[in-house]
Amino acid sequence: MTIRENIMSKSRRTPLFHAGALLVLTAVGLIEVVAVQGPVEADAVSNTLPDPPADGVMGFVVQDFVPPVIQGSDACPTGTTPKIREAYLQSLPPDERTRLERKENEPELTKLWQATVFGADGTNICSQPDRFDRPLLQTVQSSHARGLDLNGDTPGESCSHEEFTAPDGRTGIDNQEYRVMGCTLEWRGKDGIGGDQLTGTRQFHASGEWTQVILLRGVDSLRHDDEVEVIYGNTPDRPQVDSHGNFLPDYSFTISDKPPRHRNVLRGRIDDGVLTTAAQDIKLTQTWGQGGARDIRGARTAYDLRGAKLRLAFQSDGSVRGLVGGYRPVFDVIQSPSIGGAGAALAAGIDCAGTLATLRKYADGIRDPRTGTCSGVSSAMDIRAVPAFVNDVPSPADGSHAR
Amino acid sequence: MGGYAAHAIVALLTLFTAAPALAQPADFPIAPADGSALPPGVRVQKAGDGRVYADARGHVLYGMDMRTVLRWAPDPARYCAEECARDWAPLLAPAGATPNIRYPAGFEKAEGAADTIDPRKAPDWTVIDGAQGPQWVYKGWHLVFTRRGTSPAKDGAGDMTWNTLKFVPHPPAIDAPDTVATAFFDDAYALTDKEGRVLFTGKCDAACTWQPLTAPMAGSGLKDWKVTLDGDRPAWTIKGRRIFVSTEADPHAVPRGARILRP
Amino acid sequence: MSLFRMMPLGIAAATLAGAAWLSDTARPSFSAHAETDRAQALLQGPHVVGMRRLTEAQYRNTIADIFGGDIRIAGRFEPIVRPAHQLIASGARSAAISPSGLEQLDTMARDIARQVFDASRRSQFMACTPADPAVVDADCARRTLAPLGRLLFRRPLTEQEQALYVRVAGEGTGTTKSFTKGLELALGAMLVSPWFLYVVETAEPDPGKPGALRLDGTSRAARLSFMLWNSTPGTALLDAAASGRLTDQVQLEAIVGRMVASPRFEQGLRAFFSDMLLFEKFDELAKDPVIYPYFNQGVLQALPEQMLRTISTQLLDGDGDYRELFTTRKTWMNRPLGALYKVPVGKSQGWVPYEFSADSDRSGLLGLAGFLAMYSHSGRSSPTLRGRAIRELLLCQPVPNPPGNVNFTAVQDTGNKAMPTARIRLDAHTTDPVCAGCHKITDPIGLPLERFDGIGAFRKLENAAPIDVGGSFDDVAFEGADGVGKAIAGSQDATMCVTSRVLEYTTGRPSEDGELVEQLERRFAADGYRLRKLVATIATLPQSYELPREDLKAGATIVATRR
Repeated sequence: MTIRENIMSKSRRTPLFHAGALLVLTAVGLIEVVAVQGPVEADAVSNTLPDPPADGVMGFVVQDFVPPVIQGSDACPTGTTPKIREAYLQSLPPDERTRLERKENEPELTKLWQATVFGADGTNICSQPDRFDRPLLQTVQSSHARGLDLNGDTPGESCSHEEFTAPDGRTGIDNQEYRVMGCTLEWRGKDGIGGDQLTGTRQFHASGEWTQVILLRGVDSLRHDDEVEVIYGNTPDRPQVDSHGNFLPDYSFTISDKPPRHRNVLRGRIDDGVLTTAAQDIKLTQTWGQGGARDIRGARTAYDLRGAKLRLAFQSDGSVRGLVGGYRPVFDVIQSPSIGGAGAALAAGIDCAGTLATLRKYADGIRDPRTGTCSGVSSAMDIRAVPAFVNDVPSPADGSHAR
Repeated sequence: MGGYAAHAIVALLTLFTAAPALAQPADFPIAPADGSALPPGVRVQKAGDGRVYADARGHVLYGMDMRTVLRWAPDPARYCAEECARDWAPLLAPAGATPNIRYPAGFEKAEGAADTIDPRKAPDWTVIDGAQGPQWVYKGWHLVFTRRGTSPAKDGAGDMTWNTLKFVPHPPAIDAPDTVATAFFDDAYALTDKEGRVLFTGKCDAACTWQPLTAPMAGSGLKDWKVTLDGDRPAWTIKGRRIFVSTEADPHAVPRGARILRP
Repeated sequence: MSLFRMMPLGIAAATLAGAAWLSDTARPSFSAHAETDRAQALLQGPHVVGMRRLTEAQYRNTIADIFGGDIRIAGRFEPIVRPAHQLIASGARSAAISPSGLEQLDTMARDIARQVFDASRRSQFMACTPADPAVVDADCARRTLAPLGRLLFRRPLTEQEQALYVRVAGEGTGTTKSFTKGLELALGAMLVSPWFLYVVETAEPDPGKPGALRLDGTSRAARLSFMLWNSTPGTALLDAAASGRLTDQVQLEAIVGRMVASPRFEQGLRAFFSDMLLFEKFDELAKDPVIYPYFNQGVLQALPEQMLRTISTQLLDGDGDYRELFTTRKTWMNRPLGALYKVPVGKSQGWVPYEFSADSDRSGLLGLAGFLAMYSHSGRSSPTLRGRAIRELLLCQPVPNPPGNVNFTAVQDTGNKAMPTARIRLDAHTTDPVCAGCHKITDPIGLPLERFDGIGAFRKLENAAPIDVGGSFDDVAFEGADGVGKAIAGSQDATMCVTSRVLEYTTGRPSEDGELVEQLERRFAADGYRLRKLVATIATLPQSYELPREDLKAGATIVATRR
């Protein structure tokens, strides 16, 4: 079967496909209009902090959990990463490119670039990205990124990489995920707008699917405290939002007691109003892909952050802002479009195979001591969390049900 | 952020109705058997606190969750060849069996193709075209294998790809009022109200605070179930014993002296 | 509409019209379609002296009790209009049903009947199996319908009634070729009969007072059951009525004693307070979502429930003093309310007991968000509405409406920096002596609640200005909501008010016998202000079963006799 025949047979079998593509485009368009106030200036330390609670217990529900993108043209001087269609055109000789860009040749161009999405035996670049050999993505060119110094404590466990400097001047920032993904349209959005991710992920966090809570115990001062217990986990409870979509403070949440259950117990300290935690693996719910005829993996994907740390600054309004950083297995970064399969490539123009290859090239963590190769990228997420009452469930319910 | 194009993918996926997470993976609730006949030689045996399916030799059956291996095989039904096949033996369907299910390709219509069964609506046992010929599939997604050699696999091994096929019996038919349902716990079914709270009998003392299962005042009962009009409100009895309903969601949290009703 | 469908409705309409005419209370605005002579016959019986329409809750509870809680009731109920400064229980005495309301009830009735006789339930409710399921079996129909009729009408069916409903079943069977469809039709007809939709009160001569009448046993059974349990009498109570036990004072007291000791009394108590505290207003409560983002559907549903749980806990668990209902810090919380009150709630679903801290200024019912939100405007609190509600609902002291030409600009201008607090704005408003008179009654008990905003959430400042929560009641000055709670708890007007409300709730008439109310209040005080005891006292009070003289004078009492 030729590539074209393959596409034809595919489209005969997938009558809903084009409707899906249309919906994606509509959604992207809509989100650009809705400007959501993101966690800007996230690391800023407030001068006026509330008194510590009498019992030393503070709870938060995470409202924003989004890649920290620094806006401005120095990161990606040539614009955002080309989509598959544009990448295909760029790969052609100038005359051929000019010919195909003519309006009357659009159907031909569409067939040609879409053919690059599929491979032999029914594979496609998103469902089976390892089977494709695609050019690398263009990466972030600026030396600034937000994130954490992840390998400062354990220099021998990383692979060589360039480090960033944070906007606040902190050096040694590890964020290879941002280096690879930071020029994609999905991450960058349009300058001045929070980006599509902020709206998208906030919906997940508002739905109880991904909702995260943070519980601090033993807080004696919001300025300095050598020892604070930090519990960072998921809750099935839904936050309530105001008319702007912001989470309302002071609701109660209970940490999930049903599997898959994520409850990370971390060791923290507070210096100058900033809470940091010691490096430790953190897992958090990241549900993708329920529904659809395939029902792929369903609720079992997770944010799998190895050697992860929190850095959260207390704010005068009682909230916290900052980052969580850690090393992620490279495939996790493309988990979502991979679940989307050919649809993600055709409708959203995402080159999963090229992305995976670029992530592998820039991998700086999860180092195999035997081979010395790294299979993870340093990563960071911007966090903004509002005060909440968090009920801890130290042991899951099925244990308590035992006679 | 693994959510490359988070909302775009979500938008795509939510085009289809969400299916309940069926089943066998160790980290999900186990769906009960649908009561259909087992494949030849397959039986059920005790395993720890519960029961599992096994083959005729008593070897525990494992399901390979096809959804977890798509990255490695565009047709996950044919994933287990070569290296995988050295550890796992397929539970083959009888010779000449015609496959009646297949792994959905891409963004297929939610109902699946006309000639095969939609895995989300599949009966317990179907036949798929596996790497070594027609092979049994359990509950639509779990390609059935036994472990070669003697060492068992860890339940949920391979990032939840390999899971023992756990057995929960088909809910029993009950001759009871409409307001009564069943729930499975402690390896057996119990009667509950529609909210899932267990029903029980027992001797309740004079200052009894147990909550009777209320019955319709005009009702005459149903077989063993009779309505008693003694007391403040009509209540159900069974074989002359008054039925109470637990006030707790936890089926084990019944009062002292309570005898849980089992069908 | 086919004649077949019309028939039960026609019977209902005719009977309703007849009953209304006879009792001179209900005034249905439709004319009888058919069967008028038969309707007249239905009302032939003991002296009908009054009719009280079932409330929606009573209707629902009745269907659930008789046919099971799994029967769905879908439809709109016409509200019973509350007469000014009275209870809905009094309004029920003069509540008509409009043609469209009757249509709604008819649809509900058919749907209920369909469920009762559907394949999964019918064996429970049929007394027999007909020889041929497609042919009418009059004996089987009678044996099935007569017991249902007794429960629905709260008295045995007369011979004529039995014949009527058997005939309806027969005609239904004939048209549909299904015996159960016929039964369905007959049950549907019973469910739109005024004997079901109204509690029909009938009287008998009072042996102790020659020439006077008193409520008979069946009417007492219905009154006690709806008053104490807010649902229809069960067979035990109907049997007690039939055997004369409810007209025997000693046996009546024993029965009432058991009924108020039952867990089912909580349902009756909730219904009483829902009526006394005007809970129908929650149906229309709305807040500006921009000003009050915490006010959502979950909160709206929780507000009355929190008040009722607080009432039940105080008055039933341990039989607490009624006066402490205004000072207790014990209440209940759920998740939506927890955020409004800024307190943790352990359970994701349902309610947990909660005790406010001593410095919360949350005192009893008046410190609960339900009361505070109800008596506020959609975008601001209102000391005047709150003060008026305390006067009218809790102290039974009606406050006049404001005159029509009042200028409210000053009080409504909540953004005016020159007048940052409600107290300052009200001061400006009440410089007009026309207004000052009433505001003197309401504001000194409303202003101390100003630390709670328009949804009852706590605040220390309004427009960045500190809130002065000084107030006074009966010339005694105090501070804050705690102060108001203590003042109401210490006022005899409050205990007198609830006493008169229980009496009104029982009889369906506001009491005009001040001496009787005072006497009952003294008894209430002697009993430690235990509400359960007050209710039992009034439920067994011989005077409450006597008929007021004006009813007799009106000539509406001896309206018909039922054979």
